[in-house]
Amino acid sequence: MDVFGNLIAGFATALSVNNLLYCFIGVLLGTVVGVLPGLGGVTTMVLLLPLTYSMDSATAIIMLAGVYYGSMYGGSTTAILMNMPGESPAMVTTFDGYKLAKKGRAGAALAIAAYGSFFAGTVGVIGIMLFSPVLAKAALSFGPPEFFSIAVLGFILLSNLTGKSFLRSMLMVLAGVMLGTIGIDPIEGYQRFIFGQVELSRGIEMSVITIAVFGLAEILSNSAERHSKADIMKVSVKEMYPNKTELKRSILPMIRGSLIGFFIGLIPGPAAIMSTLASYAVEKKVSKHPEEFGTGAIEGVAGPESANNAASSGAFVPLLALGLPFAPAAAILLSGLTIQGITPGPLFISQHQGLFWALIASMYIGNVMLLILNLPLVPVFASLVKIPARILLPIVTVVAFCGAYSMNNSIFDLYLLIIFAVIGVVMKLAGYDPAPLIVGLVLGPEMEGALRRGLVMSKGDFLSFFTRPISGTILALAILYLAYSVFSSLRGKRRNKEE
Amino acid sequence: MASRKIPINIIFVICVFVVSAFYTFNAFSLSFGSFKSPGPGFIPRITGILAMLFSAAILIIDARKLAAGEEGDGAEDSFAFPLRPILFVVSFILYVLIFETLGYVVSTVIFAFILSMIMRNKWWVSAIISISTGIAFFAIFSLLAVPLPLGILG
Repeated sequence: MDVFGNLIAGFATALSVNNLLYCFIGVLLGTVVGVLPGLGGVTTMVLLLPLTYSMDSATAIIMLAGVYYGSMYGGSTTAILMNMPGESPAMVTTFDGYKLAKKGRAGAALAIAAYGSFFAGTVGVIGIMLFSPVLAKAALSFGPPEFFSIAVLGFILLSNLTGKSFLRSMLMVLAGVMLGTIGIDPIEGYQRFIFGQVELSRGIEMSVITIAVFGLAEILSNSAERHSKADIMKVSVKEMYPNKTELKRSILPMIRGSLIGFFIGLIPGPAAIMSTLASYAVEKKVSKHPEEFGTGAIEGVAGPESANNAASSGAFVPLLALGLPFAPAAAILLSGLTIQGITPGPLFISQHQGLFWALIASMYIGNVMLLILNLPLVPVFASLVKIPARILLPIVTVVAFCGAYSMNNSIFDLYLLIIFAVIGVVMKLAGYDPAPLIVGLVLGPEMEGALRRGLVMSKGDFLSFFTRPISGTILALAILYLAYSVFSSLRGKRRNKEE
Repeated sequence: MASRKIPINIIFVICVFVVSAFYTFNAFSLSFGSFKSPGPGFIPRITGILAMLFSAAILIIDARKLAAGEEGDGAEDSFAFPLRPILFVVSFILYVLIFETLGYVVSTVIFAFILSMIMRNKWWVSAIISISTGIAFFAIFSLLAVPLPLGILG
């Protein structure tokens, strides 16, 4: 059967009442947990796993996959409304999404995020359908040197992301890497920097730090402001949705974001957050008004939100074609498949053709459902910003604490939350950006593991990181980008002095 | 105005330098290994030293700017200790202290009530906010099977 015939057969399976219902439940649950900071899609998928024992294999996977991309979408809602990323990739959405919400364009940002997610989901599904077998092979040729170069590229891309000074961003990246080394060493299992605290051996929970430096720190600085009744924004329902200019400005970022996201999604590691960072950097570079980025540019929401969703689709490719889970969520899907007695791998597509195409079709249906579910909710969510701060702040604070606690049910994490919220406020006052800290914390352990494995592999020859074609190309890109950033910042300074 | 008071960006970068130095000192007690087989201290030593260098560089740049009478990069030129954020942090700590003993619902209701009073809501508004918040989140988290301490209600 050809691709088209297969797809139609897939739709026939996915459109059964039962599968549609579970797809809806999955997407809805995913959106809800995505909105709550801390509670991630992965946790929910784990909790739902036992329920799938009694289900038909297609139904089980369709529901689990629904939770996965539903949570990716939901994560952006709190990022836009409260500066609190539900999941770490949504961090990038806070840069401009929250600023848009402060300007009264929350509805526009939410709607663009929904359109972007839908568009990217569609691109992702087409991508999986067409490139699954071919692209998965390319991802297989990734070894430690490639992962190391990707982490380095991530560090450097970020240094220029929010427009603050390069030195300061790099210092925050280093601080993040230092935080990431606390706990058990990834290679030898050696305990580092725990100073006798058992809780520290688990390592620092990245989501707790994200909630602290973005969400709780924002709450603290907001609490100091005087809030008068005049601050409450009056927004009519018509203004809740994006206007023509905003839509027009979002189309290209959505397309670029989807492509960037899909291809990064094929790569193992923290693909979702890498893809949002990369998309943001690209949008800022190609934009005609880069100065608007960080103050509420709609492109800064459209690109990363699309990239995020496309990356989560991309991650399905290595899972389905090779049986390799490159992301935590993919690993849970793998267990879901294993429960059903199915082993994903090179033979999966040929042996379980029906299931493969039903999953693809259901992902597409899930995307449509997400759009139908979320667009009418945009005004509801957007009107949350109309609630006065003195009422909203106590509630949001409780959300932050519950979210942080639910991660590991740990009181220790709550103390970390408070400490890092205070640090977050001081950082903001001192002119430092919290995003590089998170990137260092996420990519640091990846970079360390890859570098050490790579050095063992090459018997201490660091040059081999440059001579391998893929890793060499990525490192060359990173160095070029670094040189360009340093050069343009020096030129900018000189120009400032001349003026 | 920055001439009399030490600005917060300088204080912050000094703190980062001190923490990095402490980190680097501890990193030297971890084995570096060799380039052929890097040990657990390999990355920490490099990172710690780089962080010390970067914070020292920023400190020099910022101190020079301060001496020249310029303001730091993006730093707020004045900072005072406003009362409300401090009260917030104190209530955060109290909340964590009572969280396990009193249990989720009771401690959260008290916590949200205090926060709401700090935000100068009327007592009955605070009561409504805190009770509904405590119960609503307990319901959501229970539905999602997140175990929360029950404390005295358990």
